[in-house]
Amino acid sequence: MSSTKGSKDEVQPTECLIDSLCNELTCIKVMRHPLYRLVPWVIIAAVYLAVSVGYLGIRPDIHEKVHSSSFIFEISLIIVMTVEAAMCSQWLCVPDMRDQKWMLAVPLSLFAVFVMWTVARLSVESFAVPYLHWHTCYTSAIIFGAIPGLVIFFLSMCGKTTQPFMLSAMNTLAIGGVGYLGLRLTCRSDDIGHICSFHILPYILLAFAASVMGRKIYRW
Amino acid sequence: MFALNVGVKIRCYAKVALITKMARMKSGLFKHNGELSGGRLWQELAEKAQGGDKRAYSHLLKDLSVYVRRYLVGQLANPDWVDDITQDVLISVHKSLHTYSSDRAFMPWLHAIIQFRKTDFLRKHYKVRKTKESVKENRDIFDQNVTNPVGMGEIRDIEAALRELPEKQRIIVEDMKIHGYSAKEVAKKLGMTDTAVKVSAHRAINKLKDKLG
Repeated sequence: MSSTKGSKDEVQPTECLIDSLCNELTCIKVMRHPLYRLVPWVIIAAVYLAVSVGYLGIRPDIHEKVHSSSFIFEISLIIVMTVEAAMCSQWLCVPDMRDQKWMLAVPLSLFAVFVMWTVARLSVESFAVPYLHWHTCYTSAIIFGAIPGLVIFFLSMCGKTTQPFMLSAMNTLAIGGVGYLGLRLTCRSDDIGHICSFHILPYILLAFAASVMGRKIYRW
Repeated sequence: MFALNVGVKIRCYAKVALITKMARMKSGLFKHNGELSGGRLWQELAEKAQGGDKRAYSHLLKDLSVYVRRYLVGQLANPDWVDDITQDVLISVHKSLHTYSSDRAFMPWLHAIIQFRKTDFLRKHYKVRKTKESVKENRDIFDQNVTNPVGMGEIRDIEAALRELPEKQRIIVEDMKIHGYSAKEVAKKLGMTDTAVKVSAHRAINKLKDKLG
């Protein structure tokens, strides 16, 4: 594959490569604008979340909860973070991110706010460290994350990213956001110990897996 | 006074012209011999290529190979890498052509790919510690390549040919010819007779000769 300048024989491989690439060329369907690619994911994720929450049963104290400012803040934060992360995933599918690299700062900042919010709750609220076992919340976490995860993975595979690690991080944030939202709407427990162990932990594990696999999966 | 004003005006015009030219060059709008060149031309060629125009695509790739080679040549320690990365970039452009939107500038898209491929190549290269170690161990090869970096390509060819050998033959060649073990020591290590090791080494060397011409 290597060649040296000045030598006719060795310059040839690049010429051959160009010829073979030209021969392979067919009419290409240009990838749609990331915003158009985002819309189907948002619709699918929202509909799937609504159906799953309906299937698993909405928490009984939801009427009280919608009047709780902290709950509303948390849910709003997660919704915005999820949509932003999904948005970044679509932009990351283009090699230069359409010159919008600043976008990455938004979901990452929102995630930092969420982490600080959780740490603040851990330091202020009293909680018992729960015994880790296979809880129904884990099953729910898998259910909530499955379809949005598959769809965003498929959409990301269609693109060509130059930041595979960041793309897998954004995918995880988007999937985790949908899952966390679903768990907060179905699980009646507001105990921060329970939330950390059974609502957040599965997505932390997913993040670990994504960080290891991301580079390999999105390599091209 | 009048002459001074004229002088100031001329300088201002020159400054504006220079800034405009720089801005155009940055966005790829500069003209060369009366024709569009650089980013703007490639933008049009890429759009045509997306429509299946093979001639435009060939023109684009040929231009890109020259541009990428020139861009990389000052940035890499080994001149051999320039062509490897250039070819990687061309393949990447081919694979990701569907992600390019013709309403946007071509250069940022291309540079993102170049940087990605360059980093990827260097990461892969430095990950293969064995290659570096084998070069360091053999003082002659090391010295030769410090003064003659072009020879690095030959070392890679030898290593590639070695990898193609059957596992046992490869181990024998590496142990005897690179690490300097005797046939007796290698035979003991592999549980073979001395003669079998010598025969195997001889066959492997012949195969390498055939492969490397």
